Amino acid sequence: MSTGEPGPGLPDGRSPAALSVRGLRKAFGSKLAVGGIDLDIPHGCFFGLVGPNGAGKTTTLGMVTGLLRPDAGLVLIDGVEVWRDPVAAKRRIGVLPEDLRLFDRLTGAELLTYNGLLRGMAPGVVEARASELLDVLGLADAAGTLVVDYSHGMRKKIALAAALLHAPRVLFLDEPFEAIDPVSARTIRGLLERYTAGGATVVFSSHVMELVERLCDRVGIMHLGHLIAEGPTEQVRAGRTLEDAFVELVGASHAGAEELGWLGTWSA
Amino acid sequence: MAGHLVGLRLALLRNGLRRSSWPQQVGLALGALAGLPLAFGGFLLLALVPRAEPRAGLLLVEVVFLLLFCGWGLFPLLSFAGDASLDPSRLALLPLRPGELVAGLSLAACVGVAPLCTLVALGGAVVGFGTLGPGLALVVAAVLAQFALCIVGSRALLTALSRQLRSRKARDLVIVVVSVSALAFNLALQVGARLAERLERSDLEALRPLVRVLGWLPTGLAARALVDAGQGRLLAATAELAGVALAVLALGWWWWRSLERVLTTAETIPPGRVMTYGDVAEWLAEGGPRQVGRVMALYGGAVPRFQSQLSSVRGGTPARAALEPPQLGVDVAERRAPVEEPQAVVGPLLELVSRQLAAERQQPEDRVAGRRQGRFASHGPDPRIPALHRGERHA
Repeated sequence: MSTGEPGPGLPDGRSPAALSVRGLRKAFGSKLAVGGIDLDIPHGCFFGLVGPNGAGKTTTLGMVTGLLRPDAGLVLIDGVEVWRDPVAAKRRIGVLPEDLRLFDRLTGAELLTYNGLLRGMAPGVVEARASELLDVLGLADAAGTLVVDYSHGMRKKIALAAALLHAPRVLFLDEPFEAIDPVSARTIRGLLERYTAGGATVVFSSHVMELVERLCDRVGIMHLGHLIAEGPTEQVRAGRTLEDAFVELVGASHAGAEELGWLGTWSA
Repeated sequence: MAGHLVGLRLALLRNGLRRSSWPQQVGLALGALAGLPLAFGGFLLLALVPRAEPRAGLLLVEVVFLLLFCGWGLFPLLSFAGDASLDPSRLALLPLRPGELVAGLSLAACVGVAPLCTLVALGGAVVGFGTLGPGLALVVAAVLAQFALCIVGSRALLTALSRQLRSRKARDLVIVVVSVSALAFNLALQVGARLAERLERSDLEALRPLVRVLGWLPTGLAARALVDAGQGRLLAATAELAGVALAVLALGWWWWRSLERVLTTAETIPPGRVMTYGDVAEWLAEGGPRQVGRVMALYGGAVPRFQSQLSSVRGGTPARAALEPPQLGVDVAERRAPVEEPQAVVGPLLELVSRQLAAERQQPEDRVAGRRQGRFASHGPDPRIPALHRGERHA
């Protein structure tokens, strides 16, 4: 296994950001999913990626985490070029994927254990961290239950635990708070805030604007495969709520209510 | 690394067993028992026939090796959806190189009932052909080479097809595979019968061409190496073994390439896939969407985690749902829970629907479900079996 030394950084010579993306592009057949994205996320940043359904958020996250080969473009994580050395990049990141494809015939504890062991962590460390994570995320009682018997929210939490286990420098979370109960959501928020305060970077996608507004230092708004706005949250909001800014930027392509006038005419 | 992958596979097998209720465990035990006669039958065949009828030895080994290889290619395809340890995309998030994975997964693939049965059967060849002396090492090597062919070939094929196997099309493919393998089995039986006939007439000459053709397949090379080594032609055996090794390497390379592809084409935008009542009826080969809908309306409450979606619709549009007949009062949303394996959802649903359809028609037993159970029961303790029946635990 190579250790994947940090690369020289981007051609323009800036210091390696947590995540740097240049000209990232992906088409599925004739459908352009992501049409050329440039993005820099500094270390310690809490970054929110928002956009309507089908905007290309998940495709983008897949490409920057080494799960989906882009058609063109450059992705650097902590200075490591993801598509030149995917293994070195994967060692630096934790991912909560959208589809939660887990080994669900393992118990929660086993899932974490094998995740850690297959990442080359020492068994003692894995065991200590796994039990701590299970405690914090409220899964201690379900540690011996097979993941296949977990609820959706519990699956999310165990997948999050698996993503955190190796203390990655950059954490990518696709819809982390969906299906999570309010108590756990608060715990996870606190955990992530503490994590970024320690210098780690969190990139997450969400549809919940209030949450993004409250948590994120920076936001990016995606629409039709392009990053149509990106920067510090305050700047993107420009005095409005993030939701208003979002709706304004994404535009009126989303139908207004007046087109569905018949919804007020009751059938019985 | 490899050790952890073996551990992972063991844990998955163990949990698959642990999760089953006692009737399923009996079924699994029966399945394992069904493997035993096959294993020992193969052992006796390979151990006794060559001694009794030396001229038939090569052909026998060639045929047995080829059948073993084909069996290893086909059976995992049938159990893929239920056996997570066969699905490499679940390892995509881990920093593992395809090369490491090939090595580790090969080792993990040697764990289980099917590999054990295969090794027992192949052990017969060592008894049947081995003679004390330097040839014995080559005989053992030939048997192990055949085993490696089976393992690596099976996993390479599975990985290359893993993406398709996860889709709805997999069902169609599985049907084709089952028909083809049934056909092949028939063919093998006919060949076997004819072979026996010829043997009685001591007319092996006519089978020469077949022996020659089979002998150039990788499995045939392994068979020839085995026979040559047993008869002291060590140089020829070594050359043939080198040929088998090349074949294993080629399959390994294919596996490696497929893994690389599978690990870098995450299905972020799969087409929407929806399981409709019509599909359920089609699965059962019985009734129609309306009957299934009616059964669901009347007895739907017994299905624990029913979800109309076969696999969660990610980014796609459940277009088919719009074309389907009305859902007849089943509260889909209430029972909706994202489930990864289609079987996990479809299993209890199928069971319930088939039971009710059968009851409504006063049939003694649903033949489709019966056949399906039989097919998998004969395949050893397969994690798919608990998947198909998990409804019972919840109900």
